[in-house]
Amino acid sequence: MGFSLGEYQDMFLEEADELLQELNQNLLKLENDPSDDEIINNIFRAAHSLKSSAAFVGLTDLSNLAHKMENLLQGIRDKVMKVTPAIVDVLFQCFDVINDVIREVSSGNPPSKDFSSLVKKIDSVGNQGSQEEKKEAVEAKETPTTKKIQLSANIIKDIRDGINNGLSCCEIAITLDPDAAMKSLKVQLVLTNLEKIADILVTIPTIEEVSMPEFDNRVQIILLTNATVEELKKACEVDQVNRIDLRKIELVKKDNKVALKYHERETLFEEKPQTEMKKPEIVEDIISEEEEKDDIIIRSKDDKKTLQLRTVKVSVEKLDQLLNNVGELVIANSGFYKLYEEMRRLNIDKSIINEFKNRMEQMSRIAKDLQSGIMKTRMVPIGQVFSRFNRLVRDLAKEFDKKVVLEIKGEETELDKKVIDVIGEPLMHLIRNAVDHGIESAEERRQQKKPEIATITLNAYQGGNQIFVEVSDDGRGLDLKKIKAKAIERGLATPEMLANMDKDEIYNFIFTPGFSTSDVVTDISGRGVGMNVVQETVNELNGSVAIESEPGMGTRFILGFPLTLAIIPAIMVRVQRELYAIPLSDVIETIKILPDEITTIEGHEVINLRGEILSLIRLNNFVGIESNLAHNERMPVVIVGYGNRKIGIVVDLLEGKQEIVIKSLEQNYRTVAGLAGASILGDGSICLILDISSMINKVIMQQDTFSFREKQRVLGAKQATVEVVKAEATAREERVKETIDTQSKKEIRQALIEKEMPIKEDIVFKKEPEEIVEVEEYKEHSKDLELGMDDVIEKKVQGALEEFKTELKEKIKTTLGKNDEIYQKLGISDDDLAKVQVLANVGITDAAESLSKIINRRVDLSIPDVSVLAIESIPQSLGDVDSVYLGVYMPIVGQINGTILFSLREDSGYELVDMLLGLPQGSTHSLTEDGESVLKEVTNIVGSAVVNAFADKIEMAIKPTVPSVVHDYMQSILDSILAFHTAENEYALVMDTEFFHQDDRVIGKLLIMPTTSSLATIVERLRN
Amino acid sequence: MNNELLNIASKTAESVLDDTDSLDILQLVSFKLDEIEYGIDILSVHEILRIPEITRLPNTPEYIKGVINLRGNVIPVVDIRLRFGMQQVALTELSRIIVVEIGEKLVGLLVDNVHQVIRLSRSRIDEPHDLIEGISTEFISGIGRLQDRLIVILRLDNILFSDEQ
Repeated sequence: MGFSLGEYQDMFLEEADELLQELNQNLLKLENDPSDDEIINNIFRAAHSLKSSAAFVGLTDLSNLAHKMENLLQGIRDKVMKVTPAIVDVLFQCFDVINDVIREVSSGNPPSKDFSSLVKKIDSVGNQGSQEEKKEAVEAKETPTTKKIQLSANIIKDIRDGINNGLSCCEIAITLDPDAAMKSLKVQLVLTNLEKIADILVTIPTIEEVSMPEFDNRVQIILLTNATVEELKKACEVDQVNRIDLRKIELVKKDNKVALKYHERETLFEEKPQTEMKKPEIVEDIISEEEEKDDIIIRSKDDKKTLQLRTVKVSVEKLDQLLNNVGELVIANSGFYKLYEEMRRLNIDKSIINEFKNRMEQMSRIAKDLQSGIMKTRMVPIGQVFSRFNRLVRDLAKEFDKKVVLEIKGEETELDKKVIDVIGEPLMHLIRNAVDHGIESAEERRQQKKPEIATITLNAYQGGNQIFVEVSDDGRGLDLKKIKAKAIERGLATPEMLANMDKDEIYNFIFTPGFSTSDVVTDISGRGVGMNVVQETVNELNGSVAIESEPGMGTRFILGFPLTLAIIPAIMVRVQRELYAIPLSDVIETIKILPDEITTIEGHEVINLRGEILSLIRLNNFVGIESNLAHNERMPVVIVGYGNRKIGIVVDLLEGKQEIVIKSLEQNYRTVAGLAGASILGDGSICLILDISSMINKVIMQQDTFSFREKQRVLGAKQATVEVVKAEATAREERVKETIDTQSKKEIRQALIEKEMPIKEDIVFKKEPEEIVEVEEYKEHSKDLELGMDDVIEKKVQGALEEFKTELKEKIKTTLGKNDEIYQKLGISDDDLAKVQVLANVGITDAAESLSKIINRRVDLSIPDVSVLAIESIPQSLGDVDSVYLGVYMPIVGQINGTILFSLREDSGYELVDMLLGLPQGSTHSLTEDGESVLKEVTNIVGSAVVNAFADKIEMAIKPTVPSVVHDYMQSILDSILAFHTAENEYALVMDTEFFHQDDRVIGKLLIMPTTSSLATIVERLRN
Repeated sequence: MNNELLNIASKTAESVLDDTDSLDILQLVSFKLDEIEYGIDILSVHEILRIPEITRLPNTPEYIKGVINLRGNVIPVVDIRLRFGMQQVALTELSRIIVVEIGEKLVGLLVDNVHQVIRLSRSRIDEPHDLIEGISTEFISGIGRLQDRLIVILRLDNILFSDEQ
């Protein structure tokens, strides 16, 4: 370090830092409330302290500047000057300059600032030269007599009022036994007693100061009362109070001035003569009327100084070192456990082993306490970081001519010093972005009927093992369209990829370096650097960022940080003999899977984990060695999550949980891809810590490129809402590719383009009034669904049933002939079928939702009847053996195997195509590619929905695969399916499926042809 | 300075003291690879270790042998042979890790052996030239002449990272 202020430099810098913060806060307050004397006083005090300490370390210029500030403030204090915006501005400028100087000095440079212009400015604003000098003299005189008790004007007024109201005023002085324990408690006791019979005006020293070491065992209390002296004495008689003095205070008028006259002190009680008691002094405080308004502070003690005496400032490096050592201790301690195990194995004397164990546990406890203790010393309230931003927001708001207030919450939340040190910058970027981009102009806000003054909120809170820091604004929210457009423009994603992404994934683009949706690059933001800084900083701290945004409502960034940074619990895993640690905070669960549960999509391994596609990463591949796992062995998988992403890490062996100390690899090497650091274990060996976020990012990039079909193949449709987004996306993908430009396709495309937003949000319908009615119904309907009430759906199903039951039953009965035989053979009752039907209808309702959303027209689906048929009777039972059918079949795999067949008579098929494409009925006369893809999509949606409803109910994994279209006679369709599946399908679950759109109705059949064993399983599961 | 280093220093009775001005003397820790002798300025040598357990560091260049635990410090180990583009050889009883300070970093250099400590007058050091077979001049700060021996004096700045990194 070049420039230095000598041995007191650190102390000075720290103090200056505190003073500056205080100054800053108070300046901001002053701007809002220029008349508050208290604020002026605080600023004055800060300037004053700064003056003295700067002089102390030899920064004379700085000291002079502070002195000038002080003079200016003195003028305000004395009410010879008013707080004007000009004054506040000058004060802010002083603050900036002082701040710069402090920064310069702390970075080892001599101060380079020239203050003369600023000093002139102060003089010109102040322009109260003579006044100041006079006051200065007063100030100088006052300083040495601060011990004297001064009463504020308010209190004097109270005393006067009290006396005028017939109360008597007196000062009680109690002296505590110097050896008394819990002095503050005793004093509190006396005060509580007195409060019952008197109004306490002042207590000197204050109750807080009583617990300070410099408390001289004497407390003076000024009160108003109508109690007798005896009562007062009684109230003060508390154990270990040695002496009670009382003197009355009266008001006297002298030379036109009101004065307080203290009477002779009278000792009410004295336990034993105290040596060296201070002689009571009789003081007359004379306060002139005009001075009365002044707020004279009680300066009997400088609380700032006393506080400093009770704390020790320790450099962060020392703490880090200590924490490091403790970390080693904790780890070394874990070595004893191994030793203990060894001793037990060796059959050593039991009592020795027990003794060893006791000591070991004791030590481990102490080590843990020590660790958490030191950890706590590193925790710093975030308030000091937050409060810095008041100024930033003020300045930014002025610059952009927006009206913004900063609301700060949770400032007492404590974070690790390391986080506190670096969190400022990311927060600054977020706030800048919020003011610049997020918040609309006052005009715009007025138009949108939002409060003109926007609010940015900083909040911090603890949740579980994490601390969350939030920056939220009530501005316009993130613009998904812009982000998407930019992502495409920058080549970060293709439209297809984007279509497959959810909101959160798209928001994440804003963290890409150089990514900015801003059309205008301002000084403040728009360069796209800031958000990247946010992400990087947070990553460095093992944290996470989440974004919530609602158009027109605002945006919220949530930064999450681990509670402690140095020691973390981790899951230890092995590949061959190599040991790796996965931070527990990243681990969701650990599972074991069989190799054949892994599916491959485009060369990437995935599994279907409870209906979710989960990409796998083989740790052995990641670290570049062979796996030790046998071919058909169950593979341990650690499911890890970062943000809203998850992947599974396949390892050779799970070793268990352990506390580890993170050591950086950068210190002596550099960051290594995929590694967050290293840790030294109890036996001195090194284990590497995996960087889950980077591993996930790598995998997710690949996963995002998976096509929908592929995903579908693995997954089937699981959750209706998610499913819909994806289905829509695919439909779009497919259609965009096509070139024939029919009216219907235009419409579909339009519908799709209009619905950029994920399905959860309300869809914008731009149609004629009649359709709006439908929308209303539709919304209601989806609300019902959202409520998730089975009975609502069932009711709906029942209603639909009633309507068509008779007609269709008739028809089916005749075609079916005698089914009872089959039912008996399979052990299926009518009840079972009823259950199947309800389930199927639950599924089909979801399917209707999906379809309606895709084609942007209400389509209703219903399954009025379900029956079981022998395969061979299907062509016959479906009706016309000599008619050509359109069949779409879709094999299902998983715990239930079989085929789904959706079949329609040729003409019905065309009708359906017309209906779904929105063409006038009778338009389609042959199966075009268009029609084929519509039918496939329908089968996909309907079949998947029904299958999923079953899968959910019977808790089995069933996955539909890719649909194919056959255009043939029914028997041929069935033959092609049966050929595919050998002869295992004996029976089919036949569901009549009806599509309704306005007045059109199309009837098709959905056949589920499980293998015989699967059918039995379904029925059995359903019964349970 | 640890025992290993002291041992070597005391063994070095044969070291050549031809010049007197100590400021002008360079002390080198020397090691031999394939009959060529290399020297590292003793001022950058932190200590010399027998081979401890080395933890492989995935996703790093091949010449990064791994990391070791040096009294609670995790430090990388560079396999000097691989770094110089030579054939890798098996570790022997004589293999050592020379821990050097490169800037603020501590780095272990895995060498076949540690030969001796050499005192050499600076006047006996020539500019690096291309005579040294196979080793890039980026690792060489000079060539020391010691009686009939040539010592390749290493420049450590580039030992940890390749240019492209």
